[in-house]
Amino acid sequence: MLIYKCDGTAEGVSCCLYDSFVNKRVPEAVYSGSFQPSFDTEVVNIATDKAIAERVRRGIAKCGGIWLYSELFLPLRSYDGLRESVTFSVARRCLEERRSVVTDYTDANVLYHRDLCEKIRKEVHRIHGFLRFSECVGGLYAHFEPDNDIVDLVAPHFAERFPSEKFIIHDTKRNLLAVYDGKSLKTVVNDYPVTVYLSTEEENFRKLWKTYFSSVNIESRKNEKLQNNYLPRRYRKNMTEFE
Amino acid sequence: MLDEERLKILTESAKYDVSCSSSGSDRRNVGGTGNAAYGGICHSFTQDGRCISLMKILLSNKCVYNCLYCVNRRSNDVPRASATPDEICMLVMSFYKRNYIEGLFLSSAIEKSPDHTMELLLETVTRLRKLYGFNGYIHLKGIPGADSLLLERAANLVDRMSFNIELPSEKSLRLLAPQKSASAILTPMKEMAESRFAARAENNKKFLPAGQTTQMIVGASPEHDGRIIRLTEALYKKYSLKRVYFSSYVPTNTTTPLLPTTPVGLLREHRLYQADWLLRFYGFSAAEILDSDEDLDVNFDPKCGWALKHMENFPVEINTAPPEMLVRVPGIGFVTANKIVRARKFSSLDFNDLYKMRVVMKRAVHFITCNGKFCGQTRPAAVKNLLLLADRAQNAEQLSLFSSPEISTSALIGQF
Ligand code: SF4
Repeated sequence: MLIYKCDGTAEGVSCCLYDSFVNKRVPEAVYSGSFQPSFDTEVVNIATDKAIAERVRRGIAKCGGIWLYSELFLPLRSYDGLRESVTFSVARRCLEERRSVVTDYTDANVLYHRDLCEKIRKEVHRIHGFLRFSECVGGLYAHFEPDNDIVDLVAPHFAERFPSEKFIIHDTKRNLLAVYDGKSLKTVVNDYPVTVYLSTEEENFRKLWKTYFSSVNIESRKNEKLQNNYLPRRYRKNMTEFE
Repeated sequence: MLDEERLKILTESAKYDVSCSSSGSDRRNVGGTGNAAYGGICHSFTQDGRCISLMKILLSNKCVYNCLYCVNRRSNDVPRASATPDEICMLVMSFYKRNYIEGLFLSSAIEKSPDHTMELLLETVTRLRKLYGFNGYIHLKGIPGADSLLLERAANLVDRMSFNIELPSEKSLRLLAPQKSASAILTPMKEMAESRFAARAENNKKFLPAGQTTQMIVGASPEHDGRIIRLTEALYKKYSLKRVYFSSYVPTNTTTPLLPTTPVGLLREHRLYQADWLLRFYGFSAAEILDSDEDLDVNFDPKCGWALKHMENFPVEINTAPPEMLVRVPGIGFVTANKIVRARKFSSLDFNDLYKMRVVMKRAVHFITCNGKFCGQTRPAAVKNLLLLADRAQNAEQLSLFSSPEISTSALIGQF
């Protein structure tokens, strides 16, 4: 049983695709992290090579434009253990058939790929609503712990919305920061603890928000199951109104 | 600054208004603070499972009117408060900046007179846009009976306005809201629709970009669902409304014999919203859904009900049926129909493919063929029974999922 191991980035998976075509072999699975080997597992380590990845990127663009490229590799942001394998197999089919197959839902891999994409898009959308900023000395600060690696997908919405504010969005699970300085956005890795100093008004507005939140609820219509569906509990620990 | 006490009063008096959606406007940021996302964004969910998108608040709950179903009616003994336009603006700006809300839903009780109230509302939104540079979403309640010039000016500043129709018939309105008249509500609604139409013709996109909505209370008066659905259809057609909301009547400390003492069940509201969906997105007419003196079936959703009454239209062939027919099949919604249409371009689909695409086969199987193959029942009575069984397990779950219309909306059309 053949298994590819790569770094799990779009470039890494692209190099797996390249190897698969050049050496005419199709792996059973593609992984970046750990996996359970069996007695007949043959592991091939695929090194990431930017030049090769670029050739693959152009190849994919020929099958369905640059849109297809970003769509195909979107699931790599997921936490799902099959993300690299599914991405690989759908991308391989596109390259082989020289067309986009991302809507061929008779293919189980394509369906899985779509589900991962939808989950990621859904989380980005949810976070646009659920993120909470605090007013701090020097700008706005928000922390969150998304399931998927999406801080750079989430941040542009806020840069557009608050073009003249400075802000930091902190993925505390992955130690990633999206930093907006009032002009441009960048994502940086940060392994140090982040300390922020709240503005003097901050506490007061948090209190008012909590008051609003509890007053707008209709007690006689309590439906926590519904609330849990729309706003899963794991998101609440980063939200002011649930403190 | 608005204090907690007044914030509480003004929010509690506004919370029975159901529309909170922030959709329908794609306001770009052009300096200042904020923009609007076309699909709307939910920022939180309260314990009752409702979405918080806009900050829903009254400028004042001191009302000179006495609508019997309303908490703010003059004769009700509740704490009263009002806020100044500036207090509202400051709160919106600070909440918005922290990403608590998507914008403002501003309404008011009738303080002194309709004109006086409308002037204050107009002042608030003018300040918010011009002075505070707020460019996020605003939904403003229009005050029936206010000067039309005031209304027009407000319409040029906000994203959406609504005049609430309140009750499904003029008779009920006379009985329960004696100071309101159908014409005072419908006239401004009509004028706004015409002005918006004219503005669009001149390419003015600033006049109510997200259009008008309305709301009616269900279960406070005796009208049948069929009548409500017909009225809804007429409102969409005549006044190009974006949305008609149904608000289930919740008794708010009333003693009048004119009103029921129990709240209307969620199931009825749920069925009405499903029927509303069929009108807006599935190409159904009110007459197809039910007769005006009928109520919606509690056992079946209205689409299923229609299919059962019209078995002659089925089965449809999955591999060739047009999309508008696919969505009429029980168990196939927009998202699945879309998947089917895309996937069948690659190869012809069989039952197993449909199952994988999450078509609800237990329901759909009686209404479809795959490459000519049919696996369901044909006798209407048998189909009915099987569907009842299939639904029983699912119903409770579905009900809880759908009772917030805004979200079920987005879930159904596949946008989040
Ligand atoms: S006008 Fe009627 S519905 Fe509006 S706040 Fe006053 S009493 Fe309530």
